[in-house]
Amino acid sequence: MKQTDSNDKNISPRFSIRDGGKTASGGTRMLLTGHLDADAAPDAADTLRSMLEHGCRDLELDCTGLQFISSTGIGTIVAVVGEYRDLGGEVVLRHLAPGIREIFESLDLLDYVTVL
Amino acid sequence: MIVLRHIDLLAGQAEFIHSGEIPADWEERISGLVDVFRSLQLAEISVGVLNGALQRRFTLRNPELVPGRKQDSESAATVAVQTEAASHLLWHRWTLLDGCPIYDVRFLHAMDGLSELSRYVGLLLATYGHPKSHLTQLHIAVHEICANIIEHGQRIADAGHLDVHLELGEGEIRGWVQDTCKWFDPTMVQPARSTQLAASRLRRGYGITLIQALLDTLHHDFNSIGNRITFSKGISK
Repeated sequence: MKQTDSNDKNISPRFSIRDGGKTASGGTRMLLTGHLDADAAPDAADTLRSMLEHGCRDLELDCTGLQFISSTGIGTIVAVVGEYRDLGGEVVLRHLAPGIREIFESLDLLDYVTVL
Repeated sequence: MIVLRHIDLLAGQAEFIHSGEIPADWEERISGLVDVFRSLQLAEISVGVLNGALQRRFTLRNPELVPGRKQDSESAATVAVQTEAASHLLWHRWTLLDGCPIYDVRFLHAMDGLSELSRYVGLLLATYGHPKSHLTQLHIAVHEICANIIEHGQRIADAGHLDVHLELGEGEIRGWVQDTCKWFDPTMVQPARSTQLAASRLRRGYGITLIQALLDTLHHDFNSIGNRITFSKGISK
């Protein structure tokens, strides 16, 4: 075994949501990574709601790095989808891991949430 | 004294803390633990010095270890590790019985410990290997069971705890979650329709539906300790 320093190494999984640039249609892409659970959901909701308040209507959530989602996380995404639609917007989820996509499917939410 | 502070099997990492100055033969001293967790395919192990706060950390990397399901070569082995007091993880045990890894872990019944508990369960399940989708779903189901207990369970005593038991059998994972709460009637829990929750913009209420949808079997018992939720999920290759 080789010994190295790793003082800045954080080995705890976290959730992050950050700007992923523009989509081909000019919408906003956000990158979701980590665990979207009850701890992370409020901040995620605040971020997405703030974007809505600032005029964002076409939103893509890139879930390539999303490893885990709890029922609270699902509820948050579903609620955000509704809030965007209320103001004429649309939210799509891309690159969901198969296990997480199947969860939306098992909850009969694929007719409500657009998953690409 | 060397204790396990954190284990991250997804990342292939475990962190041991030595409360005091690290002795010259520290690597030899932890070799027993290292061997156990090497079988869990850990690729990185860090050892720190703890004097009130973490002051220094060393990391070991083993390039021989790669992600994937561990190969069981021993017929039986048991390890119990006491964690530091600051953790919500009270203890955990790892047993290999006829090639079937069995994990038992006890956490404090505390809302701020749920994330740690869930992460730990996820890491244990990750040792099973593929298919990852089934393991993710099982992880979420166990998380929801624990979340419901922590949020709604009425503890008999102030210092309650949750025990999680997982048997990673071939083709099926079985387990249970045991609380120290008063009896609850599962028939009184009526799962809401997800589509109705969505239409109502409700962020909560999906948990019970999710648990039922993701598990193959689900059973509730009440014993002398509290409630026990027993479950299983087939893991097809």
